[in-house]
Amino acid sequence: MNLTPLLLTLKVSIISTALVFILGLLLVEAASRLALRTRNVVRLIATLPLALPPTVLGYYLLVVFARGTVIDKVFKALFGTSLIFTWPAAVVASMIAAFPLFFMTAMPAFEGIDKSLINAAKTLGKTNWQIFRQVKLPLAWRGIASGTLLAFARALGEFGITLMIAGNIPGKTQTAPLAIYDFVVSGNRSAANSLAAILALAGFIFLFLGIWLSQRRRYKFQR
Amino acid sequence: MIKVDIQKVFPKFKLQAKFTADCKMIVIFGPSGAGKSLTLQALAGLIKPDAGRIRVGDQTFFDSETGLNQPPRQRRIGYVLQEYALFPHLTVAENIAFGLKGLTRWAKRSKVDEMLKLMRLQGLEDIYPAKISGGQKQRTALARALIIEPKALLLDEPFSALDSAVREKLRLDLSQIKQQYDIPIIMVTHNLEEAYQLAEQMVIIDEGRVLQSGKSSDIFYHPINRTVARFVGAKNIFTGYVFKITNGDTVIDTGGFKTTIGTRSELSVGDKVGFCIRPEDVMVIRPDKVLGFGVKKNLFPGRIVGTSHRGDSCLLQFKLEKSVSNRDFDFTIKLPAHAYQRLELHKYPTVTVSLKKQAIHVFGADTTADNRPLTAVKGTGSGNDSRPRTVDRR
Repeated sequence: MNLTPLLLTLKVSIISTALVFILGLLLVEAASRLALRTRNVVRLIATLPLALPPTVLGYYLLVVFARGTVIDKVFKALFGTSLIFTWPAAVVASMIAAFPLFFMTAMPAFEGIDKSLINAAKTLGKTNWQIFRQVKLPLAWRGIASGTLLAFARALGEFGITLMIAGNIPGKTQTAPLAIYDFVVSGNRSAANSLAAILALAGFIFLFLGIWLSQRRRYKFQR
Repeated sequence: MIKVDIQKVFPKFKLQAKFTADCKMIVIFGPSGAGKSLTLQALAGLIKPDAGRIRVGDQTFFDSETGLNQPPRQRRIGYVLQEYALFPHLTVAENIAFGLKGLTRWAKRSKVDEMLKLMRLQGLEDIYPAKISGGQKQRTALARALIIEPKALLLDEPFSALDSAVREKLRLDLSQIKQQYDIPIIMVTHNLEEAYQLAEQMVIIDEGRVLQSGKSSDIFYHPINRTVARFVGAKNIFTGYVFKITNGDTVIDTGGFKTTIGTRSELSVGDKVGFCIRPEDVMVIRPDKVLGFGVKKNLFPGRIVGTSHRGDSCLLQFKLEKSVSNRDFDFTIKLPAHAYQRLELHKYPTVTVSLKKQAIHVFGADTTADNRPLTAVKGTGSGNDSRPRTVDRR
C-alpha cells in the first residue's frame, strides 16, 4: 500500500490543527473580552465555514489566491511561492474547515468562566496575560482540548476545499480522502477500502475523545 | 483618607457617588440596586467612571481631568467579592498565595502560613474551595486579599451568605483585621444592624446617589430626609406644618395630631416640615400610671392594634384614638422584651404614648425623595418596612 497520501494527511492535519489551536485561542481570548453583541458577530464569522459548501469556500479561496492577485503577490514575497496547488494549500483548506469546530467548543468554555474570578485576579495584581495563563486556561482546558480533537478529526477528512485549492496531485497534494476518491473512480476497491477504514476509525476515535471531554462537566476539584 | 466623586451613566442607571471618609471602617448602606457594588468596583478599578476623581490615601487612582485611570492591578486594593470568587482550580493555600509576586517559594510559604493562622484556616491548605464551608471560603477570600498588603480593603456584602453564628465570628475577625492592618475597610451592606454595629462612618446611597454621609449615630438620629429616615429604620415618619410657636415651643400639626418639638428657631408658623421618631423612643404609658409633673405634652391616647415578638424585643403597632389615617396603625413602638412583659399591656384597652421632644428629629419636608411616587420607593430589604402611607402624605 502506498503510504504517501496517509502521511501527507497526517502532516497536513497536525500542522493545520496546531495553527487552529494557536489562532483559535487568540481569537477566543480576544472575543471573551468583547461585549456579547460584538462577540456574536465574531462567532458568526468564525463559524461561517460550517454553513458554506466546501466547494464554495474553495472557489472563493481560489479566486483570492489565484496567480497574479495582490494576496498571491504578498504570499509569494513572503514564502517565495504561490499557495495554490501546493501542500500548504491543503493546510489552509483544513484550517478553514476545522476552525469553526475549535471555536464552537472553546468559546463557551471561556464564556462559562465566572467574571468575578477575572475581576478578583485583576485586583490581585495580575496582567491579562497572567489571568489567561493562570485562571482562564486551567478552567477552560477541557473545552480547548475537546475543540482541538474535533478540529483534528475534521482536518483528517477534509476533501472539498482541498480539492479546489490544493488540487489532487499524487505524491504532492493528494491527501488520503482524495486518494480514496481516485481509487474508487479507477475501480481499486481494496485500496479504497483499507484507506477508508483507517480514516473512519481515526475520525471516530478523535470525535469520541472530543465529545467525551466536552461532556465531562465535573472537575476533579469540584466533586 | 478616601475621596470619591464619580459619575457613570449606564443604559438604565446613573451612578453619582460622592463622599469623603477619614476613618477605618466605612459602611456603604442602601437597598439592592442602589449602586453600592458599582461604587466598590469603581474604587477597585474594575469599572471606569465617565467623570470624577478617586483618591485613596495619598494616591489618586482616577482623575478624568488628567486622564488618569490606574488599572486594578496597580491599585493594590483588597477586594472580597460577594460570592468570594475563589479560584475553583486552586487549593486554599494556592488561592491565598495567588496575589504574591517576586518572592521565593519559602517566603511565599511562610506568608501563607501566617495568613492561614490569622484566618483560622490551618489544616485546610490543600483542600479545594468547593469542599469548605461558607465561613471558611470567606476567610480564604479575606486572606487572599490581605496578603498583598492592600491600601484599602473592600468587602461586598460580607455577611449576606453566612448564617448567624458565622456572622458573629466574622464580626470579630473584622475587628481583629481592623486592629492588625492600618488600612481603611469599606464595606457594602443592606443590613441595617450590621451597618450600625460596624460603621465608624456610614454612606447612605440610593438610586446611584449618596443621600447622606457621616457618623452612624448622626445618621441614625438625624437623617436629612425621609428616605434616609426610612432606610435607618426610623419607622415613625410624618410631615406637617408649623401650627404655632408659643414660649419657644414649636407645635407641628400633621393633620392627625399635634405635637410639640421644642425650640426650633429656624422654623416659623406655616412652614412645611418632616419629622421622625425612632420606634424605641416612643414611650408607652399605662392608664393607671400617675404622670409626673411636666409630662403633659405630646401625650396621645389610643390602642395597641398589633404585636410582633422579635426575641429580645417587641414591636407594637399603635393606633391613635382620634386617628384620621386609613392605615392600620399610626406609630410603631419598640420595647425590650422584658419591658413588654412587665407592662402587661394586654390588660388595658387603651394606653397612652408619649413622644419625647428631644427624640423628635425634624428635617425639611421638601426633599427630592419626598416627591417620588410611593411605588418607586424601594424597601431596605428587611421586609418589615412600615412606612407611613397616608398620615404624612396629605
